[in-house]
Amino acid sequence: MLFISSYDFYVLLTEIYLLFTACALLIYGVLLNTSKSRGTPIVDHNIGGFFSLILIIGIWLTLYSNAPYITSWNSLLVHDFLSFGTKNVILTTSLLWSLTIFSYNKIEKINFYEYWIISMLAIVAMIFISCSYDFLSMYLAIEFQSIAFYILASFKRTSEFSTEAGLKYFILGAFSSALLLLGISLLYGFTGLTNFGDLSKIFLGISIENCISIKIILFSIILIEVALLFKISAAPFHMWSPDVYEGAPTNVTSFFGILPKLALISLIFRILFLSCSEIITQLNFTLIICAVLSMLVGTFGALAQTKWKRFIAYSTISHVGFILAGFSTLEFSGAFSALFYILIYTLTSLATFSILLSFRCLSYPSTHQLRYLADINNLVKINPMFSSSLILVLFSMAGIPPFPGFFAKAFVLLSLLQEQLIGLAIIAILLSCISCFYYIRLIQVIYFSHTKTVLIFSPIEKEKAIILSLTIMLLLIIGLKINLISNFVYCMLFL
Amino acid sequence: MITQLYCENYTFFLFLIGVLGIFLNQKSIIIIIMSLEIMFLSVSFNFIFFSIYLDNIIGQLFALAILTVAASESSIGLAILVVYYRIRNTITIELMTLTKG
Repeated sequence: MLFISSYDFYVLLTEIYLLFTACALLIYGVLLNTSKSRGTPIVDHNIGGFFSLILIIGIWLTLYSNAPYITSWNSLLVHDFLSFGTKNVILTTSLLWSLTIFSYNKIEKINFYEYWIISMLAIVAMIFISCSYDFLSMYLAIEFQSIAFYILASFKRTSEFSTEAGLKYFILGAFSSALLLLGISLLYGFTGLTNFGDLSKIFLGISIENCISIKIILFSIILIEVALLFKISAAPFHMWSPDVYEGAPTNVTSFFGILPKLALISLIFRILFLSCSEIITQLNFTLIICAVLSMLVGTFGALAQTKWKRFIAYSTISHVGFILAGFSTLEFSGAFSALFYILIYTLTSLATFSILLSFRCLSYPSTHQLRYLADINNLVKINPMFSSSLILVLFSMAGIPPFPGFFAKAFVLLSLLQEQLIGLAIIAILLSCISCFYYIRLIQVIYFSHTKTVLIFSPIEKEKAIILSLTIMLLLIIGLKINLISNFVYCMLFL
Repeated sequence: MITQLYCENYTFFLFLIGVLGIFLNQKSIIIIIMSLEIMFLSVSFNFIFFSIYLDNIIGQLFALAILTVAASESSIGLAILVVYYRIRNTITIELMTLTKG
């Protein structure tokens, strides 16, 4: 085999396993779902259970694969500690997420088992995004993930909200993919390279005066950056995210909110700090502008919201603003703070969505998902333990010590001050004070609200309770001993 | 004489036609999907012209990959459009305001 070695297949062991089991699950689902002798059973819950088991074995495979630190498939994919760590975090988080949304399909009577198969494919795509080392593999992985998400967003076919959200997401996502492609084509045309490592070498000695085509290369990198910022819903490209978060069914919204940002932000880290590290100093202003706009839009947008999912979408935008502020320092301390922030954000959003999915209000004869923010008034009288866990999660998102959200924001601010970006630091502090208000307003609604009416909630389910308690314990432990996560992030940056 | 600059201009204007098709559209969503396809096509042309100019094969491989992905993406888009149409019985844009913003 001249161009493929056996290393190429060994490092992709987990992905091959997950793809194979996705196909096997699909065949199993189809055969079982259409067999008249068994009474055409609904296999959705069954395949959901298989999903969790498959992920457990997938995590075991990645953790114990002694893969060398190489690039594989003719330098299309790279396997260093950043991709290894991101892979493990994505798989673990998706296992916990799958336990959280296990019974959502059954309660809401969406009886399509393909949900789990498309989610499995989306997880494989996210792993490929975090592994990619060439624009070709990056584009294919991003498209793979995006197409899976378009289908998932419009999954509840009988709901107008869901189909409209899927359509909007499709249009804006395909538009951003076309922009990404234009950027890659221009970069390819003027450098002749698509590999991240080769690009880092060609940009090494580049200076403005010598090169005529530097402007077009800068323009192409701006286009690629814009497209990737579209995908992580940074302002001013955030338009799709509140609508899609609100329209999609809540299990899909939790998938959007928790998982893809980690893969995309590790990809942005690779592009900005590995391949474009020399040339990005000319484009610092784009990252700073996007960070400021994201924080502004996220904070003031979330202030005005009355519905849960749009609120979470806008607070996500403000968190992404902090992460971009960390990246805009163009130093490794800033990149460390950004990666640390996204890991803490993944944990808190897992907790948030496990709380949100347990808000089921009684609307006879079945329950419906809570929609409005103000409907959780007097939650303390219904379930005091649950409301105290909601308080802990909100404190972590607001950035109050000793929760890890505070340390995440503190690291970003410290790295900003170190790089003399003092204006950005002042804006970040002011806006996070304002964002603290709308998190604490929720606590006021839960504990000290004056209305006498209260909605009847169905009790929290066992899996969600386990995941919620696990994540909150992790938050408290990490808040006390930051070493656990910061060592991990340092290894991801430098290995 | 067809120079490289001429090819680059052509593809860029084709991309611009696609972008304007999305933003100046007041009629229906099919126009948007067609404009997206025009954008993908123009980028494929860009890759192929650059590949000929640079004498590098990666551009043509990329164009082949774009072709595959654009085909699957438009099929997904049309499937979502069909599902949307079944509920709403219309595909004009003015009524896509259920979720504002």
